[in-house]
Amino acid sequence: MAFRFQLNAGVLAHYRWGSLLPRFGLAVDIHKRSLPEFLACVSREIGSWRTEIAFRTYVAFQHEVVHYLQDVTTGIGHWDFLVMRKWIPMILGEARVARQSPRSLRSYFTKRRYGNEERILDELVYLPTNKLSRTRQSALLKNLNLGATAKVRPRDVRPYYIESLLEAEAATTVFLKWREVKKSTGLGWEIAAQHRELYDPWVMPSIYKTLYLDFAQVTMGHLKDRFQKEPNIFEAALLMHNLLLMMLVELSCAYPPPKMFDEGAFSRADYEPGLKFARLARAYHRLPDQPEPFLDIFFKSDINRLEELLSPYMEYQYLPYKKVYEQWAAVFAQMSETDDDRILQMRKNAAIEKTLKPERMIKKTLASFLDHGLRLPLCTGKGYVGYAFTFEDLNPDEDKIFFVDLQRHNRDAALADYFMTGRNFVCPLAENQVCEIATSHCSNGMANFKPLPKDRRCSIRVGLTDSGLL
Amino acid sequence: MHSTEFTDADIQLLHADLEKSISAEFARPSGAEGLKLVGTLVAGFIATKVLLPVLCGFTSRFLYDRYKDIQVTSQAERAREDLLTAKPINDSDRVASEVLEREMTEKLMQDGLNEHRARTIVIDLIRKVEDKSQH
Repeated sequence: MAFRFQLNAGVLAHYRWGSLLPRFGLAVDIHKRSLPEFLACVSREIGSWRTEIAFRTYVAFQHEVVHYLQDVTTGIGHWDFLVMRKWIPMILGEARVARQSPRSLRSYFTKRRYGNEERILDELVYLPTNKLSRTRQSALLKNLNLGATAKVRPRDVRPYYIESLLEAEAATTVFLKWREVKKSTGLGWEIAAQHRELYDPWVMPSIYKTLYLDFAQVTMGHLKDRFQKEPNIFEAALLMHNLLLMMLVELSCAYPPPKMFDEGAFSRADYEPGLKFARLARAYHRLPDQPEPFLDIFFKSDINRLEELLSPYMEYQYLPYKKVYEQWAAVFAQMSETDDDRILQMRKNAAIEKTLKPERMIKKTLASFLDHGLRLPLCTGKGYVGYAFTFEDLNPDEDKIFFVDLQRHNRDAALADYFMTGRNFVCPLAENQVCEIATSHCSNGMANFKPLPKDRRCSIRVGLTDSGLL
Repeated sequence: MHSTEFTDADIQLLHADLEKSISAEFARPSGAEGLKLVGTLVAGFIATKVLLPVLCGFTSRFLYDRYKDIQVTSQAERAREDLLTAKPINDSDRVASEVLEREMTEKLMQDGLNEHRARTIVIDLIRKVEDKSQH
């Protein structure tokens, strides 16, 4: 299930899609001052790390923030949020009925469970590559071949899987910010140099670099003979490559709300993010010459103009970026009328921001939090850390309400995952170190609910008992 | 083998064990599938930063003082070379095990391990090195 799928930054950190909670391991050192410190360094282009752990923390923090923003601000994150919002109550409801039914009916519910899992996997946009169905992989291959100048073979599809796209954007964002660092100590530079596999897409593991390198053929391939003689050309081309990749991934993730597909105007196969990226890249390649406003578009992050420029050269006409997010803002505004869930509100605000100030939402960097005022919750090796940026968030009650909504989402997702897949239940409250009675079973996982603390303060036990699941 | 000489094979063997222990610690809390992906690179260097000073400590106080605070691979490389070419010394010039235990535990804690686990790993390492130097 989506909530258990993770985007990795190696041993350092990981992100469960849909959780809105970047998670950091013990090998990095995140604390409440981390974000302000990193922002100060980034704004002054200083690399302040003096130790390995400080550098790992700096890189992992930025990498995971990209995944968080991919989830909370893009159409694919919004779509998957709605999918899970629909399915989680159904899964928990069925689990309750199954529990209360005679043993003879258990196999019926087991079959239903497998059927439901298949349907969920079919509905979600983000899936790790190893969970993509053969049908979806074949459709992507077939569609990539339409309009291609050279035959696309099955092994050439890998860069265009959704996981590769999201990891490429995270790697590129961190790399771009790292290249902006102008000052550090000799030791600082040496530490950074020996950790290139964490932030430099040219040498990172395959999942991070496959799209990056493939796309470099389009943006830089024709210039490679000049690179040795004119190093400045390489620097300029690399910067443009990085910026263009980030903008095209952003356009590719502009997945419309369900209503647009229900009306039959669009097919989901055409909105496969990797396919859209490939079509955008081909359109870029087809541009007669880089027209005058091109540099202006890059440096102003003017995504709407970029889309307009590429649109005539694309073999498929997508719903414009701005229109997609207007639709999402309307969907969430309507839902918010009857539900004051803060996660819903945050998604609504993100969608509105994309229609009003898209240029501030393109680069998913730390500075972007100051611009768009989204919250940033983190689960660190030492517990929960939360950041808030808007005037409304100064109200301490808001912090609590957001925290409760976030934990509720993650609790329900963890329970649904347990009932659906039969994998061990890991209590999100224990994981976030916000439960004072948690035991090692709670955080390491349990095959059934017996090890839950027998205490009224265990909200999981109380909730499961009250709802008839225990 | 003289009691304080270490070979490249000794270093590799001890390093592999130590790296495994440290990797397991980092994977412990969440059990996330992806944690192993780039983890061996990180855990591998943390292992280097602890192993080489311990071996230096068993060889001579001078080497230990020089390499007890390795931060980058170039320092680690120099430490390894000096260690492999170091002349045998008297037992009295060794760094005491208690000092190695205390200082290397702190080092592992700086890299994120909790004190209990860090100490356990360092004690285990010192025991293995002692065993090797007695053969």
